[in-house]
Amino acid sequence: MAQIKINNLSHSYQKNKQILKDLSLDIHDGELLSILGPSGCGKTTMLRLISGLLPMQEGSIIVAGGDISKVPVYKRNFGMVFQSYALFPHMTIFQNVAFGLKRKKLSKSEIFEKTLSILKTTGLLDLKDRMPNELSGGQQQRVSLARALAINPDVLLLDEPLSNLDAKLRIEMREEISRLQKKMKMTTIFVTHDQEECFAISDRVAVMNHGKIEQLDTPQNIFRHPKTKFVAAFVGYENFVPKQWAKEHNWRYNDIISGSQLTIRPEKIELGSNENILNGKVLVKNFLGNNYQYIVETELGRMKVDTQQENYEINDDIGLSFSEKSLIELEDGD
Amino acid sequence: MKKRAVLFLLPGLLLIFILLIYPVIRMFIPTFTGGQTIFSNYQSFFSSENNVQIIFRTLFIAVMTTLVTLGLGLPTAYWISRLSGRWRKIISIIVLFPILTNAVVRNFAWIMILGKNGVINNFLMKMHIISSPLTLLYTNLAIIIGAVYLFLPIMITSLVSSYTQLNSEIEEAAEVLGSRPIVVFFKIIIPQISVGIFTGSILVFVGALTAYTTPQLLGGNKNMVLATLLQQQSITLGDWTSASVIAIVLTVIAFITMIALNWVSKVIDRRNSHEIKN
Amino acid sequence: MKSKIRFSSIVGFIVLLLLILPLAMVVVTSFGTEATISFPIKGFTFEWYHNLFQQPDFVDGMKMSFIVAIIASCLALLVGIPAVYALTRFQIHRRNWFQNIFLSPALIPEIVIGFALYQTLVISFGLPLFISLLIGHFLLCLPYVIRLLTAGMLDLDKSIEEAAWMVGYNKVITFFKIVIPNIKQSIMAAFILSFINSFNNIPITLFMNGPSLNMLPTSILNYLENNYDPTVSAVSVILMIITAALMMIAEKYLGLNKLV
Repeated sequence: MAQIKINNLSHSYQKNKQILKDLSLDIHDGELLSILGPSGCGKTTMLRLISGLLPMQEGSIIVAGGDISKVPVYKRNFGMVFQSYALFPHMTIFQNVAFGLKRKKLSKSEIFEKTLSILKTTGLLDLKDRMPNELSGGQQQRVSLARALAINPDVLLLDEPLSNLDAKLRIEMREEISRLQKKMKMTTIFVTHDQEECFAISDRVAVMNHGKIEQLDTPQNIFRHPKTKFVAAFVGYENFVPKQWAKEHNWRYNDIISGSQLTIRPEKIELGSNENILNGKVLVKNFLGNNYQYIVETELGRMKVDTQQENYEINDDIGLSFSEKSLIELEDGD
Repeated sequence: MKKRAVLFLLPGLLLIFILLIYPVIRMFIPTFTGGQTIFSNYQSFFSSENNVQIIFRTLFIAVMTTLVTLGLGLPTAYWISRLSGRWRKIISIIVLFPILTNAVVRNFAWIMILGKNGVINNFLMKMHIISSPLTLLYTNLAIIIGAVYLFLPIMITSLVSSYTQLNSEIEEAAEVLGSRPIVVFFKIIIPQISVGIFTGSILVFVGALTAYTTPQLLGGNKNMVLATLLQQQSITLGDWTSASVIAIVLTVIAFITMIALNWVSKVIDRRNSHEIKN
Repeated sequence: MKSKIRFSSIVGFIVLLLLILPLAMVVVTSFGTEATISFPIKGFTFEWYHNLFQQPDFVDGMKMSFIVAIIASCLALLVGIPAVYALTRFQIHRRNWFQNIFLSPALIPEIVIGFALYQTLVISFGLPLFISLLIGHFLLCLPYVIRLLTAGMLDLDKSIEEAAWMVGYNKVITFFKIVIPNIKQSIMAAFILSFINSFNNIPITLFMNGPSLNMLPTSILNYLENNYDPTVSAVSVILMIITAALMMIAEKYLGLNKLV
């Protein structure tokens, strides 16, 4: 259906504020690709460029072999789900979903049938005569998704669609998105700042920082083998160790990457008094439910440790130990 | 700027420039020419004792109107802001209705009340408190009463919206700490609604300063203000240069007060937010 | 706390009475039988309402004021809606300046506007009085339109327009199918407020009415200079009824807070 090739995309606001820097990205036909990054990293700008809501400055976007850089937004036939839902307040749910179909050359009965069918697929049939302000946030977002899918778009764009929902609805809604996306085999770009929700449903994830893609890979690979310090920090690696220091202490690691940093997740560190690799003093102790989190001051700075062990208190001198296999080498970012 | 933005703004901008700004500027120019120096027309305007008196009367009426509407508006608006539901709606309608009613009608009502055979004189005569009617109409007082009646609803509306945003917890906190209500009102409430006070005061002051109908109907020929003088010089006497001078004096006074009150309001507002930060 | 509320409610109550009583008196005097206005009235008659419709100045003035108010309000909306759309939706350098230019008719004293327009439009340009009057009232209405519509547009989520573009509607159709229906209330409120202010205006109208162009408020003003009979009360009552009717429309469809 639609493969997307993004070539050398650059974008800046005003003269000196560059948002995207020479960014290239291939999105496979039918895959769900997430763009993960903190606010201000350029992910929303990229999505708006793909959608056509923002005029392009440099680079090109090829969809299914055709250059769409100069195609106006209303002719692109992309579906988009907005963070604010953006339902038309003066139309019923049925009218909201049917609105896009009225632009297509379809008979009235075809529009009616198609709208009903998409309402059924998204579980909104009972709500079809309600007005948007009579719906809950989750229901509104469902309508927004139905409206985007109704026009049978070549590409589905999701702009932080879950961030206005509460925790429980978020999980429900992301599963709904994943189910519909797989069913319709639709090329989908999902923009988010939440690594958990994007790992759960994505085929691949592009981690963005300062207008560049730092790493593009499957969720599993990104989680297990973050490439840069930024990616590692973003997916929950809290502790960083200089390679030079590790070498001096005869730590074993693969040493195949040229970077200068190693990283380790907080739950991979054990606390104990013998066979220590690193000594420190407990600064903070927090109960997190499943485990405790200790922040330990060491000669390498503060290290975070997530553990079941609860018998250490603030100011206790303790030793940190971990399996050397848990250490991950990082490339130097810029 | 985008081409479309220009297209959307241009008709309005052109109309305003051709139909408002240009006529106003054109009106200004002759006041600076035709005399010996560029200020001749103004010198002769201000050298007339009568004109100076009219300026002071205009200012006096505007100041008094602002103060009286504030004095009556502050408690009234406080009361309205504490109401809710149906009563608040009914009272809002009562306050809004005069704003939307023709000024002639509103001033005419006061002619009825203040006139020689008006309601007040009739009543006082019947009660034998006075033997001959008092001169209430065609005085400065009548103009002030009329202007207060005209602008009080505007002051109340500005103050109500300010009071409604007021954080009542701060007020309660001050009372819990033992401040007397009157102290709380002046030290806690007034500073917080200063924006409403200034917005209301600007609207009332400038409105009273430039009002035509009220002084025309309630002031009579003896108690002229700048607006009625402007009308007399232009329409009745056809002296356009003098009328233009008056127009400029009126506009300048209105602008200066607007800018000054806006500035004071901003300074006070900044001071308030600063205090909260500390 | 209690004493403060008691004090303010007493003052508030008196203020409300002072606001209503004068207008109520006008209503009462319109039914009086005496040839000059007196209060309290003796007798009861509808004669003055009858007389009112015999006065060509009032009848024609009423018609003309209606026509001018409707045309001026529509013109202000026609010019104001695109301007407000541009001011709230496009990236505009020095947006505040443009905003202030559009609000400038409200900053210049009305009587000065009337005088300036009379000099330039009527005398220099030789425009007909009716056209000049319309222009004056258009300028009067424009700031109300700009203010109310700006508030309405700022309340409207920009994404709903983008959503309409995304499903295939171009910007022009989106404007009419999505934007206009959603700012309908602000448009109505702006129209009502413009209408009332144009209909009631005196300072601008003063300079541009004449024997051939009667406007109601200035006709009443002229009538009051020579007469003091309850006809004025009667016409005042008619004006109050119009105001009340417009307020009822506003309350029913918009909520009164839209007007302030």
